[in-house]
Amino acid sequence: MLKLMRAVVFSFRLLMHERGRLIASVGGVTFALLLMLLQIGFRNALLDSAIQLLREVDADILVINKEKDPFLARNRMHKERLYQALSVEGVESASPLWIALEQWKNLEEETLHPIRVIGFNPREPTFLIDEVNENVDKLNRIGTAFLDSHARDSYGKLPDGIAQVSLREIEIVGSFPLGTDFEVDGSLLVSDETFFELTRQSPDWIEIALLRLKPGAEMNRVLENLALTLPGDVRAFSKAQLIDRDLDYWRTGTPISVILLVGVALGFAVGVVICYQILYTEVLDHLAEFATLKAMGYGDSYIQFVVMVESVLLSALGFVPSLVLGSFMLAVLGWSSGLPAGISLGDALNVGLLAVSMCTLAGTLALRKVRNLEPAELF
Amino acid sequence: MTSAANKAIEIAGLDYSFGTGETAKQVLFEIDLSLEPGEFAIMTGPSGSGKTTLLSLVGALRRPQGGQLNVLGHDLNTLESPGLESYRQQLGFIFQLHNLFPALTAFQSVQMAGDLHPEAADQMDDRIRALLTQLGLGERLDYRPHQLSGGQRQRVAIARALVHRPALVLADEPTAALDGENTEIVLGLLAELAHERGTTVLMVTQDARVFESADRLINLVDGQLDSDVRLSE
Ligand SMILES: Nc1ncnc2c1ncn2[C@@H]1O[C@H](COP(=O)(O)OP(=O)(O)O)[C@@H](O)[C@H]1O
Ligand SMILES: [Mg+2]
Repeated sequence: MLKLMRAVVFSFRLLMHERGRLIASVGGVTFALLLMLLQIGFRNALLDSAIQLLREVDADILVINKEKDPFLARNRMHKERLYQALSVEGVESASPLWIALEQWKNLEEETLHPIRVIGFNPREPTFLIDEVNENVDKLNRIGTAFLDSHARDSYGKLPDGIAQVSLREIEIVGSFPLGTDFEVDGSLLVSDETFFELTRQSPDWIEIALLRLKPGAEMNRVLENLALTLPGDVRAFSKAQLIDRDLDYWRTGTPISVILLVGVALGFAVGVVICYQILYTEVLDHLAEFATLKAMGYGDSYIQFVVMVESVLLSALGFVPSLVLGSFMLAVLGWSSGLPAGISLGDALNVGLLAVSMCTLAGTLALRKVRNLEPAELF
Repeated sequence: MTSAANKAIEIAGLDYSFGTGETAKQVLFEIDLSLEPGEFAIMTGPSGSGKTTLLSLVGALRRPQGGQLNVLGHDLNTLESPGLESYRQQLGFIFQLHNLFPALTAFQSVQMAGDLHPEAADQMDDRIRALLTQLGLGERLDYRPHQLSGGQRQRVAIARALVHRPALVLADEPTAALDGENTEIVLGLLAELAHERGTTVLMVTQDARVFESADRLINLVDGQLDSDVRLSE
């Protein structure tokens, strides 16, 4: 135990000795880890933004067109399906959601930007968003809307609270937090009446049916019954199932998500190269000294241990600043883009593990140089 | 026990060549040499005569190719890890180059040798301090190599080779970088180890100043033992 402690202290002394090199090394490791953290943060942002709307609907079960995948794709179904679902045992209530893409006019720059218009029945529970539920009566008047407070700046400021959406005037009477995703820079929430008038869509074709279970009703039983009752053009999912299915879609089915994973791998590779360079130089510069240790009776395993400890220390020294910088940069990004970018504790731990494996891999490579070190070559 | 076990060093018919095949160059020829425990032997000889090679063979830094090599009761022809490491730990090797880690202070460098001897752990720090003080480095325990002169570095390396009270000291021109006064100190130290602790010392040197401290004078020429003289007090 004492011997191990001594070896760790020795590694620490070796690493700390050359300040200039240490700073450069830690900088390099930090850079590589930062690359990985940012990629993971972007990926999280992508995944999070894709399921934001799904998270905020007040539903135990959602019935959707069977072609609708991912959830943000637009595939409507007949309203009849909602009534059919309502008739299934265990279903307490069902409410429809209509969704359309419209053109929002930025009145400052006279430019058009797509916006998602979500229609719902203000008299029925639809969202889990407090701002919506507390002020929902304001939407009863036709021609009014709530605007996404997390929407991107591209929609511009409104001088007198009147927006122009697809050539119609809409009065903004409130806001709700939702945010950007990969299709639009924000959303607009309107009553069903306003929706039909604004989009000229038929009330009979709805986007989603939101079902809530009776108290005590069993989710799987209800899902089974829905599958039996509903025609084959639609499918019923629990909210959790649908979230999982969507995350899976974005995780595996999209090139952008793969690109971000490649980014992580690239960061790892860059890190290994930097780390290797540092440890290799360190070993090479002190080859004669390490050989002297062997001549004194230290074994190869001791020298290997010392270099591996150096590599772990290096990864730890790079990890802390990369975490601080990465969190800060992602926070700034989230704030400026409306994307909920960030990293979880689990991600941080994963990057920590990546950091350690990165440096130990580099250490192992660097050690090939001392493995067959002959102390006799000292003379 | 064989007779070799009673000797500190027992060398018989030792050959050594560098390289193999056509480029092979033999540098030691049929060396026969034995040293008693507590003997202080000095080896001289022209440059390139094979002195360093012989030391490195005795120190188990090279493997013998032909002949017998027994040191401190170990047959070096067959010694393998981990016996190899524990054998090396019984030696004190003073190299021509000091090879100190730039990151370590004088005290820490010597401690690296002390750490290999946990049985003496409780007195090791005191011993390191006393030895460095004896070598005139008492005020420089916390200096790193770049803050020390060449002679001071060499003395740190000497302390590192002696602090664990080795049974055998192998020294390769240890006083080359030292002035007269420090040469005296180092030789006194080695003679004291040999005569009072029974440490065997085999020292390579060209330095005529040191001959009088020795019990034996061995001369190596062109890889062959030219003379082996026992000096009487
Ligand atoms: N690693 C080596 N490879 C090849 N030849 C060597 C090597 N080391 C020493 N020699 C040669 O072996 C001979 C003896 O060298 P050495 O033992 O260092 O002599 P000394 O210490 O007496 O000056 C010299 O001719 C030297 O050139
Ligand atoms: Mg030599």
